[in-house]
Amino acid sequence: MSFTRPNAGDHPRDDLAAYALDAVDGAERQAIESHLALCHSCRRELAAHEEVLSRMVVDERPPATVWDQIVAQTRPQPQAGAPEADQRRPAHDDVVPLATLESARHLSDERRARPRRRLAGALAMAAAVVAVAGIGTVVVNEMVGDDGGQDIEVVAETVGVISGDGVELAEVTVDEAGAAHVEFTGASTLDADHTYQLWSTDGAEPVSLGVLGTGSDREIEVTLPEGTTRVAISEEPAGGSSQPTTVVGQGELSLPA
Amino acid sequence: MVVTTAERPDAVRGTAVATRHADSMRLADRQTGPMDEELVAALVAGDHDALAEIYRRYGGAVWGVARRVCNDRTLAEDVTQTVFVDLWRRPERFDPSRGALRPWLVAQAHARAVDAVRSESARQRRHEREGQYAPPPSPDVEAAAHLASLSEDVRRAVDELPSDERDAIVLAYFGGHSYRETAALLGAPEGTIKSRIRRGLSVLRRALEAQGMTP
Repeated sequence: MSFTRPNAGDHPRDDLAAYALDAVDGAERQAIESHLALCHSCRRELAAHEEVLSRMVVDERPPATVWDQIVAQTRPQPQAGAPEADQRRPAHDDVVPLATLESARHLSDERRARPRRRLAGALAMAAAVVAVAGIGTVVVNEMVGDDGGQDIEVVAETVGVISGDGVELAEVTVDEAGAAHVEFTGASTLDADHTYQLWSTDGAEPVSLGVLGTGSDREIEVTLPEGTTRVAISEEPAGGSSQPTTVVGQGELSLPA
Repeated sequence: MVVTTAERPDAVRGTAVATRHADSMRLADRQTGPMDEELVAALVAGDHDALAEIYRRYGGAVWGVARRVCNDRTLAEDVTQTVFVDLWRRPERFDPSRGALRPWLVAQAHARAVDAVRSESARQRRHEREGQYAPPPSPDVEAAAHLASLSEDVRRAVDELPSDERDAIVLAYFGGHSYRETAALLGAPEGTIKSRIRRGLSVLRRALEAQGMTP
């Protein structure tokens, strides 16, 4: 073992960085945790890594049912009018909301609304109201269940259609939770060696928004970066490509510019 | 019926908490109301309103990281619930002297999401052998999809990183891959991946501090 400056080799700094990403398993993980228990400076460094990593996380609106479940597990009797999950945008001025959340406020009247998912419980209604606030035209059907609780039907909005050769291939929708989906409506199903891939074509170069599978799954959840207005779907070898190979359809989204 | 915004309940019902802490309350940079550590202290005292307020503040961040890492709403819902139920049951695990609440909650969520994904991927591999799932995307496609999800200013900072450091961080953090898997995905030695992650995190920290984003 070579002689080093005092402590210079004692802090597993590379391991600690990987540990901060939960990328270390087993015995290595235990060794780092043993070191952390004794080393103040590494605990501080870990907290600094966690701070940086948490900046990479974009707040999104959780489904209302999540808070319902938390209440059910933390308080036996949920009170009527209990605090709603994440009702308003986060207070941080440094957090940019997902484009899809913004987009819900920009939907216009002629867009189709249709039932997507049924949520149970009074809390769900509040979330649905938030999701449609500012639109003013979306109808939320409310039903009273047998137990006196409320079941409501909430809606997804079509925010764009992707077509090729005049044929509609897929629709892009945003649901009550602000989640965006690509829903294949007219695309044929590919063989297992190929996949559809979604692209943003707003910039000089297409940017991949993820692979969509063969089309056998009719609905795929996607993340649309803020300000996405033009998208394309291409056909790719399985696993996807870094650049589009064969563009089969294009469309425009009515998201904020 | 048409539901109007007038029927929306008040955004936060944390009045009791706010009043209780009025004496010691000071204005935080980004929010008014009780400080995070005061809310956690109220949790120790069994104040459920404090949990609701913490959820209102950070439920979106916990859900955001869980959903991205899990890439599955049901798994992400489980992770998000577990994080807040655990916080309620063992609030003393949060040590305010070590760091802020949001990064701590995000780290809790990330660890659970990675656990969920690793056991989920074991399940999925079994299904793949039965031909039920499409193969996963290639590493550069996966990394690009995660990068596209970042907010504008964070993406600017991340774009400053050398691409090998950026890909190592993004694949390990958002992809939920271990450093060994990340090394295999990127075709680089395992030790190199760990150094890239550390260097990349240091550069990111400086870039974010320069943007005034780190408190």
